[in-house]
Amino acid sequence: MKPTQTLLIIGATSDIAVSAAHQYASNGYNLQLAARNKDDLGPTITDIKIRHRVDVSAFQLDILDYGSFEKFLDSLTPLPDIVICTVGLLGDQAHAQKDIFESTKIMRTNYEGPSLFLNEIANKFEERGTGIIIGISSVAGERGRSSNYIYGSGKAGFTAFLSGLRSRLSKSGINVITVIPGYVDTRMTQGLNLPALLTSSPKILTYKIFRKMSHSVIYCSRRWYVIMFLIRLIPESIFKKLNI
Amino acid sequence: MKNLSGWGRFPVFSVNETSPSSISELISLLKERNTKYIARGNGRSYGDSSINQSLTITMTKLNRFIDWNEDSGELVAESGVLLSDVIETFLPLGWFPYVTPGTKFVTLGGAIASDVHGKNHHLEGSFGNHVNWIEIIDETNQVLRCSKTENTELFNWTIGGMGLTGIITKCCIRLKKVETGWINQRTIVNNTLRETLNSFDDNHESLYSVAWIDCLSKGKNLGRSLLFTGEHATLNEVDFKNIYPRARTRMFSLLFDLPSFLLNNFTVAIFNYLYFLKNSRKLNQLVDWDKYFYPLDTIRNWNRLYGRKGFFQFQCILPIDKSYIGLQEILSKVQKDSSGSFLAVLKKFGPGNGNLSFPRPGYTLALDFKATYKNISLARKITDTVKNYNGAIYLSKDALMNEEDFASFINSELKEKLKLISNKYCSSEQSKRINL
Repeated sequence: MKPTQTLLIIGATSDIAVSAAHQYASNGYNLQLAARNKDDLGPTITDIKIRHRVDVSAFQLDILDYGSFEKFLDSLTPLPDIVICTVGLLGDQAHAQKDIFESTKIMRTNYEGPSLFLNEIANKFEERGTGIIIGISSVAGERGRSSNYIYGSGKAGFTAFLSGLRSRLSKSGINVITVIPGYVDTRMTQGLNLPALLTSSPKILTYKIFRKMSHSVIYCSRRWYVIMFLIRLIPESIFKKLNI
Repeated sequence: MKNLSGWGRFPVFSVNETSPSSISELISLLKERNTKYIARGNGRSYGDSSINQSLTITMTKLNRFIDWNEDSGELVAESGVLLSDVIETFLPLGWFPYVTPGTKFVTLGGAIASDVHGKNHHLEGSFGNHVNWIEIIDETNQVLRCSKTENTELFNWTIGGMGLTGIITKCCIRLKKVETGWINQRTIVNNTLRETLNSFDDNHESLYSVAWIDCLSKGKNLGRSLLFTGEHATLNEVDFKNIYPRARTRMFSLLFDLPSFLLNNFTVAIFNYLYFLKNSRKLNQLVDWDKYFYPLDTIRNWNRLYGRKGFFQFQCILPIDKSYIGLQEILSKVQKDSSGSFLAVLKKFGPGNGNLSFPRPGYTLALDFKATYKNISLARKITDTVKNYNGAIYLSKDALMNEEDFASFINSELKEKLKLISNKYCSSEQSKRINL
């Protein structure tokens, strides 16, 4: 039998993170959950321990506090086999485009923080010679749209970062996966009127991730793959006039 | 706004719905609201009892286990936890719910609010009999714990209280130790209604018993049935490699509504004939828990079988001494008027929990009907029969009663008491309809 593997989840209070925690724990993985406020993890951890009878530990981590990364990584015992970064901040585009502090926060939370953190852990994985790195990006990063380009540009940067990291680590036996979900029914999208046919659930998304851990890029559904393929084909002269 | 209905998909309402993901979020939401509301579990009650157009609070995201005692089998959980989660988690450790309804996709809060019953009611009572305590949000948005010893009145009225006493946030339930996940099923063929009723008494000692009635058989065969009894199988009766079988994966789901004409008296007669034939040939068998308790859960959206307009369920109880004559009358009326009742299930109840809770001594009959004008007027007719024989109708299945009907099923003293104990902010489309 394989020794028990450990999964680290960054941004562990998000709905996708909680769903991933259940998906992996139900398959016997031990969990390390990191969130900005460790206390928020309590009920989820109790639930996971009762349901899946695996080891779960909680960590405090602010993805924008770069100075704390080294100490955090050293406190992980063992160094995880897999890391999933679900950190993201949708924010409010209308507000952010007029407020430099809000837009900075959105850009940094979606791009800088996650990328810098994954780069650090990638170095550790490279040293060890094994590991899987999973980053949750977004279709919003595929092409900048007027309705969410501040969020989207952060995700675009993250997607590009993951792509480069994957290429760099491909020789070291470490797989880097870019997950590109479309609409997912979570707290982040609560109150938005999402089309049912294009909206997925965290459960379906994390099941796909679990099943496709040897892939490079995972779309949530074929529908979204086709949509984004077509959206990328639209000439800029037309695209800029579209109200999307 | 969102369109919501019960499991019967009839009637449908345009509803303001919200689904909080923590108890604190729920409470702050209640502090801000200025409308009446009702809590909703997984939407498996058939009619409109889990819907309030002004605010329906769906509880399925409050679905965490909080504590588990492996010595006593006591489980503390948020009220949105599904019974299927409880089974999936604790059956492999040798524990099973004391009481389960015909689907495992109900929330614990919903099971308490409907005080659901199972095939073992005559010996082990209903869901509420195995609840240690409940936490509920009162009118002042405080969380109150209630049990048999603390806030007793509130506890007793919340069991079967249809969510009208306040929102259930947490509960502590007891599970039952089982040696295996298998059931020894026995089938008893009954050719008349009298035989059917008697066979419940003859098999009183069996832990589980329920009868499937062939609604379409007439004359002296009226009430012909198959009585299925069951006992938890012991370790030495099952394959030691598969002591606790896992839930079957859902075989298929209906992606669209079947055309409603597919279910008619002719097709139901064929189904009944084949079902009777198949089951009366195999009188003793070992069945896994999922197939035994939840045969319909395999088809994810079996409620689409009845077509676009939906269906309704009619479940009544008749006192023991009136059961024979009452059932005879109901079955005759159904035969005369119905267009295909697919499922007809009979069960004998033991003592009940009183107040609003449905189970009480007698025989309970459940029937499914396509939602057509003809069937609705038939349901009105059988409601009158139930009234005449001092029976009652199960609120979690009801979609049709009016204020007058309900008044004849509940005594005015109880109704006054309920007015005192119920939460003034809680109401459902059903409670408005029947003035509960």
